[in-house]
Amino acid sequence: MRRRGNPSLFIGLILTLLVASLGIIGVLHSPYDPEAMNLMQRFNGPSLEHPFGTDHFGRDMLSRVMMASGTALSSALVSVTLGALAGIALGTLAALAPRWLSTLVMRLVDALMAFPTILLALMAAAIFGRGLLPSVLAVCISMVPSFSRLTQAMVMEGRERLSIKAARAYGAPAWRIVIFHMFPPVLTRLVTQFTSAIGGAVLLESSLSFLGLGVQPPSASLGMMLSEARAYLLTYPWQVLPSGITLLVLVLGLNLLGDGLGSLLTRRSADGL
Amino acid sequence: MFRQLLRRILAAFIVMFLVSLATFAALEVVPGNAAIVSLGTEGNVEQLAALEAQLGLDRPLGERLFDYYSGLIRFDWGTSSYYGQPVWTLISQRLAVTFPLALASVLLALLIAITLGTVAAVRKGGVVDIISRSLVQLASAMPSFWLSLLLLVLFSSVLRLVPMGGYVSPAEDFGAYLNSIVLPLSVLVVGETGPLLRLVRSSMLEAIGEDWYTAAQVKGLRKGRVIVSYALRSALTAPLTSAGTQLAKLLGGTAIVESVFALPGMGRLFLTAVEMRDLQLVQGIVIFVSFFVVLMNLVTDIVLRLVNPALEPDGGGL
Repeated sequence: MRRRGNPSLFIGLILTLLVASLGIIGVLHSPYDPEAMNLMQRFNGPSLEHPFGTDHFGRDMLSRVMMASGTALSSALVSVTLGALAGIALGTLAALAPRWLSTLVMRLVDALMAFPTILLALMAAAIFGRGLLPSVLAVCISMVPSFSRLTQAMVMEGRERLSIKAARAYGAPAWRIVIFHMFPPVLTRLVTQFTSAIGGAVLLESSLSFLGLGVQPPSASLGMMLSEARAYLLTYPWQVLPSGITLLVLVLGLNLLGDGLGSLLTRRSADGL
Repeated sequence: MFRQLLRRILAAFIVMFLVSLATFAALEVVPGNAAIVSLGTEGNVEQLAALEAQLGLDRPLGERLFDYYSGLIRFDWGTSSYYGQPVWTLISQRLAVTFPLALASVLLALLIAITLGTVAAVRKGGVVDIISRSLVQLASAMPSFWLSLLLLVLFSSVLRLVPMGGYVSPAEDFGAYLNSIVLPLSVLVVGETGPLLRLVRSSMLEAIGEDWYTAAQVKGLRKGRVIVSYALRSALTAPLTSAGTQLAKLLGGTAIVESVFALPGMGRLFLTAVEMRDLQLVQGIVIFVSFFVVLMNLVTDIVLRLVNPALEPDGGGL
């Protein structure tokens, strides 16, 4: 059955690319030094020189937003990649290991799932301390349970397929079966999960930095910029707009991209089978 | 039925045991033990040794693990080094702020999700469906702290309807209490409604596709009646289970909202504990919240099974 186009994918791609290009351009060249203070130019409204205005230290908000978007996206990518790899490994282990071990692993995953994500991330922050690296680790850990559950379910399902049974009958080693026979057909679901997880990771990382546990000053992060703007909420309320809108657009874009990719890939694989 | 119940309860206990063990282990690997952390930079070796002896940190691991579990069972969860009060007292005080907020937000979210989700499923592709789905997308991408700040600007700074934050206990002045929680409550409802609405819509769509739904219509029952008393009943299992879990998770998940609106609840308590590196308190809250999540799952599972015995014997994970 042919369906109308895929607006989620299209809009999501545009929004994500918009913020991503801000971040990439920011790495190569930003209009001002994002950390350069200019106390004569505090709280300037949007102008040609400073399209997003300046903050309480007179720093150019556009440059800071650019720097922060780059950090947000790259740290989310790193933490979701690491979390996904760990989760996939754990899930595969749980699916193939002897029963007692797999029960133990899956119960541990259940236990991790029983933690509210923000609590898990905050606890990781309590253990690892503050800063970019600890917050990446914290987000990474919170990504592990969902990936390991998905992988475990998929491998268990895959075990019953005829092609897998045939491969096993030929005497192929377990790792070979998993990597070459089990993963390719389920890759679409993993990719979908991966994309959707990145939006959540950006949100979680920015929450941590809003609470002062992520990226430390003077570096910029979207969450921290908002927590700085909060101090001037009564006098300069528009200060919450540049970083907030960027964050919303980025997460919305990533979520839509995940949804769109999901419906695209499941439709493809459904057609293919 | 009885054996299944026993198995579920046993599984719940295993998860609780693992959570508490993981918490113990996690805080065991923290660089610098509780004594070093609470002394901070002012302290000498003698003081450190004395405090370690007082906290029992110099004893062997096995002995401390035993103490830890016997304390857990007796609700003696140690003393907070920052507040100087028993952890259990602090938790129960803060719960009085967070629990009503969490409960109200989940109930409101459930109400909105069931109403909109049902209409969206019955009239799939209609106006309500499209608008509610767009709103869900927007809400799930909305950072709760940003929404909180925007609401504060609009309702307390510009319109001056509610205070900028702070908490009034309901026993003191109920009207002021409502004023102090209306904004945090709205932020939580926005966050909770999205996932529930998605669930209601998808399980409603599934129910409408079933043969008995068509049969009931063919039989001549009015559409509204079929939807409300047949389809909705069978479609509510997943959303209700999820609402139970969300409620439990909110007990620790309100940290951001409580911090923006200056509410003295569990989330803020946890945040302070993390900032002050009050490990005993961190441990206590983590264990409390995760035990509550596991128990809540167990209770919703049992209740749903009693209401709807046709449920699969081993559905629904945790």
